[in-house]
Amino acid sequence: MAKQAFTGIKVIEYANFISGPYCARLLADLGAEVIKIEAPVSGDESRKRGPFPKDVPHPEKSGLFSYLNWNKSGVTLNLNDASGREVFKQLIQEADVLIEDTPPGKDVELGLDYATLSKLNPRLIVTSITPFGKTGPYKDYQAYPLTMSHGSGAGYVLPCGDTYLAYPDREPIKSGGYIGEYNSGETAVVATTAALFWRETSGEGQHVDVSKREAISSLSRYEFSRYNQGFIENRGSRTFPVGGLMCCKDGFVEISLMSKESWLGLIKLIGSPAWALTEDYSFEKVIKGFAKQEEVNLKRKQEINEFITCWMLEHTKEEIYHQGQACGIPVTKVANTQDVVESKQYNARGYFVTVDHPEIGKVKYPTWPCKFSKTAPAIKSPAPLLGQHNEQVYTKLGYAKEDLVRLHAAGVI
Amino acid sequence: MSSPTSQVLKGIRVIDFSLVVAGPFCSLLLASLGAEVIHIHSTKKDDMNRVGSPSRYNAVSLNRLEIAIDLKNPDGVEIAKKLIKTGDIVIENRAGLLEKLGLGYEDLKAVKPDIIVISGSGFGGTGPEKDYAGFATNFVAASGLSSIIGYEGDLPNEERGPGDFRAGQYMALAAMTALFHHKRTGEGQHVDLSMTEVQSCGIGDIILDYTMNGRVAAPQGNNDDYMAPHNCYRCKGEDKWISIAVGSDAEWKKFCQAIGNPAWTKYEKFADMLSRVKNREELDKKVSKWTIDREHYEVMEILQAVGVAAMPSLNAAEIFNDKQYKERKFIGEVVYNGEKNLVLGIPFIMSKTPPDIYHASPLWAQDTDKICKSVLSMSDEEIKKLKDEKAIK
Repeated sequence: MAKQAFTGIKVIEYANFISGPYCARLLADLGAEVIKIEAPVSGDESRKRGPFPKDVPHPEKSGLFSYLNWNKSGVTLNLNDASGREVFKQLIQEADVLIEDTPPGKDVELGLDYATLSKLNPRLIVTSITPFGKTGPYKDYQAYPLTMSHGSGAGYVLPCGDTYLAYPDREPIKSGGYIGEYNSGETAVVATTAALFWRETSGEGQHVDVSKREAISSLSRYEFSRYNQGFIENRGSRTFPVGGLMCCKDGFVEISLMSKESWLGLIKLIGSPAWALTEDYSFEKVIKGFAKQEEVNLKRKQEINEFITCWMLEHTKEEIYHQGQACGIPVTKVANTQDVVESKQYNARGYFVTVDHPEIGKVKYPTWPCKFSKTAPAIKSPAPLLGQHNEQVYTKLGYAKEDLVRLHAAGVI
Repeated sequence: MSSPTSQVLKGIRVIDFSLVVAGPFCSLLLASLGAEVIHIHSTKKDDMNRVGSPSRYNAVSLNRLEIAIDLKNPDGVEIAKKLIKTGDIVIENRAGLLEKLGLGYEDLKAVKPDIIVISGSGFGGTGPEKDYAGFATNFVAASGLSSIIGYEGDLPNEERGPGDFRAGQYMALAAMTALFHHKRTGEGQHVDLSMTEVQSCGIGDIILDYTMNGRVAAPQGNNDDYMAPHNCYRCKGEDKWISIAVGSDAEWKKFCQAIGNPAWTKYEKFADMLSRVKNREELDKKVSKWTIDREHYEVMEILQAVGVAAMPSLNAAEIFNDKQYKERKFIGEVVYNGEKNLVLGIPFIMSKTPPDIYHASPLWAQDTDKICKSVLSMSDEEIKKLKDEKAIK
C-alpha cells in the first residue's frame, strides 16, 4: 500500500446526506480512518435517495450513499439516548476529527458541541457543516439544497443565454443536482485539513464552522463583484457576447469566444463565409470589449449567433469539439452523463473506478479529479451496510458481545 | 501590506504562476490561512481583468504580493527559480507552459527537491485532450453539469463563474493535503488536477444513474423527485423571487398553517407528498398567488417562523447586504486602486486561527523591488540591471 497523507488520522462522522459524508469520504480516500455513525434502523437519509439499481429502492442499494461512504466503517448509535452518548464520548476520546451537521442547540443537547467535546479531548478538531453556520440571525433557519442554491445567489443568474431569451419572465433555477452540497463538503475538507496542519505545530484542536450557504456564495464571487461597478448580474447578462451554449446537429456545444485568435479560429472552422470576412464582423466589432459586454447590441448578438448556428446544425458535437480545438477555439461538447462516462479523456486518466458493493454489485463510479504523485487516494472498501462494523468498533472500546446485545435491545445501537 | 490573522500557514511561501481565477482562488484560500503568496506576472502584458474589470480582478486576487518577471528571458527564469528555492509550494494553471519554459515539476525538483507543485488545467496534464483549451463555461459543459441545468424538458444551460472557483477550491484541498504530508515526512510532490473532472465529482449521483441504469439525465428546473412545493415563486417587486422547499407532510401542515389554510390546501390532490409532486404545476400556481403580493424577505420570515425552508433567490446587492453574512464577517471591504470594493470573505470560521481578507489585490508589478530586496537579497544595482534588460519590471 502506497503511503497516504492522512494515515493514522481518526475521524468520527455524525452527519447526514451529502456535505458531511462527502467531506469525511475525501479524508478517508486520502488515508484517514473514518467511523461513520448512523441512527439505528433509519440510517443516513441518503440511503433513501437514488439512484437505485433497476430503480428498486432499498436502503443498502442507494448509489448516492454508496458513492459518499466508501472507505468508512459504519456503526449505528442513538445519541438521543444517554447510554448512546456515553459510547460516543469514548469514541471521541480517541478521535482526531469530528465531522458533524447538527443544528445549533441540538448539538449542545446531544453533547457534541465543541465546548463540551474539547474538555474530553483538547486535541479534537470539530468541523460543523450546517446550512447557515452555527452563529448569526439565520442560524436556526431551515434549509434544503434548493433554498441553499437560491439563498447563496447562485440561482439568480440561472438559466441564461437562449433559455432566458425564450422565457424572460420565468423563475430562476438552481444549479444542477446537489452540486452545492458537494462543494460545501469540499470547503469543509480545506478547513479541516487547515486545522489538522495547525495542530501539528500547536498541539491544539479547534472548532471549524462551515456555512453551506457561504461555501456556495463563495463560488459566485465573479458574478457578485460587478456590483462594485453598479451592475447586478442577472439571467439576461451573458458571459460571452457571441457564442456560448449553442445548438448543433446532435446536441449542444459550448464556445467561449474571447480572444482574436478564437474568433478567427471560428471563422476558419465554419469555412470562412463571406459575411464573416467583412469589416462589420471583425474581432474588434464583434468580441472586443468583453468586460463591457452589455453594450454589445442584443439583436446583433442574436443575428451573429444565428449565422454560426446554421453551420453548427450541420455538424456533430464530436466534430465541432475536435475540429474547433484544432482551430484554436475554446470549445467543448455540452456533455451529457453518457458522454462523460464514455469520454476518452476521462477514461485515459482513470477517473472512473469499478467498485464492488455486496448489495449493489459492480458499478463504475467517478473518483478523484487530481493525481498525487506521492500520496494517491485509494478505494479500499465499499460503503458499509447499516451497523456493519458495530462489533468490530465497539469491542475495541471494551464492550463484550453480551453488552452489544443489551445495547441493541435497548435501541442504542 | 497588512498581516494575516490566521497562523495556520505562517512561514509557508507560495509561488503562484497562475492566471485569471482557479489558481488565484487557490492561492487566496492559502493566503487567508496565513501563507505568503508571491504572484509572478508577465512584464509585457497586464492582467486582462485588472485592466478591463478591476472589481472582478479584486474579487479573487486578494492577499498577495506581485512581482513581474519575463519568463522568456533566461535571467527571468533564474529569478523565478531563486524564488522557488525559498518557497514551499508552487501553484500554476498554465497548461504545460511552465515545462516549455524550463519550470516544470522535474526542473523545479532539481532546484528544490521537496517542492510541492499543484497544477490545474482544463482537462488534466495527461490523456489525449490534455492540450485542449477552455474556460470555466467549457469545463462545466464538458463535465455533464450544464446538461442538467435548465427548465424541465428544455435546453441545457451555461454556468458562468463557479466552475473556476470549484476548481480553485479543489486545488487548495490538494495543496493542504500535500502540505500536511510534507510537514510529516519532509517530502514534496506534484498534483495534476483536471478542472473538468472537478465539476463531475459534484454530480456523482447523477452520473451513477447512467452507470447503474443507463439513464441519461436531463434538466429538471427547480424540481425534486420527492418534494413539492419545491420551486422559486414570484414576489412583489422587480425580478424578486422566493425559493420554498417543503420536505415532509409535517412541513406541509406547517406551510398551510402559515399561509392561512386556504381551501385549496385541503384538496385531495395535494394531500400527501406523492400527490403534491404529481400535481406540482397546479400547486405552484396556487403558491405563487400567495407569494406574489409579498416581499421575498417577508415570505422568508413567515415561513421560517414555522420551520419551513424558504430563502429569496438573492442578487449581488442582497448578498453584499445580507445580515447573516455581515454578522459572520463574510463580507469585507477593501480599497483597491483608490476605490472601495466589497468582497466576499472566506466561507468558514476557525475558532483559533480564523482566515481573513487582509489586503486588496496588487497593481501590476507592485512588489517587484520589495521581493527582490527582502526575499532575494538583491542590491539596487542588480535590480536596476535586471530592469534595464527587461527581465523584471
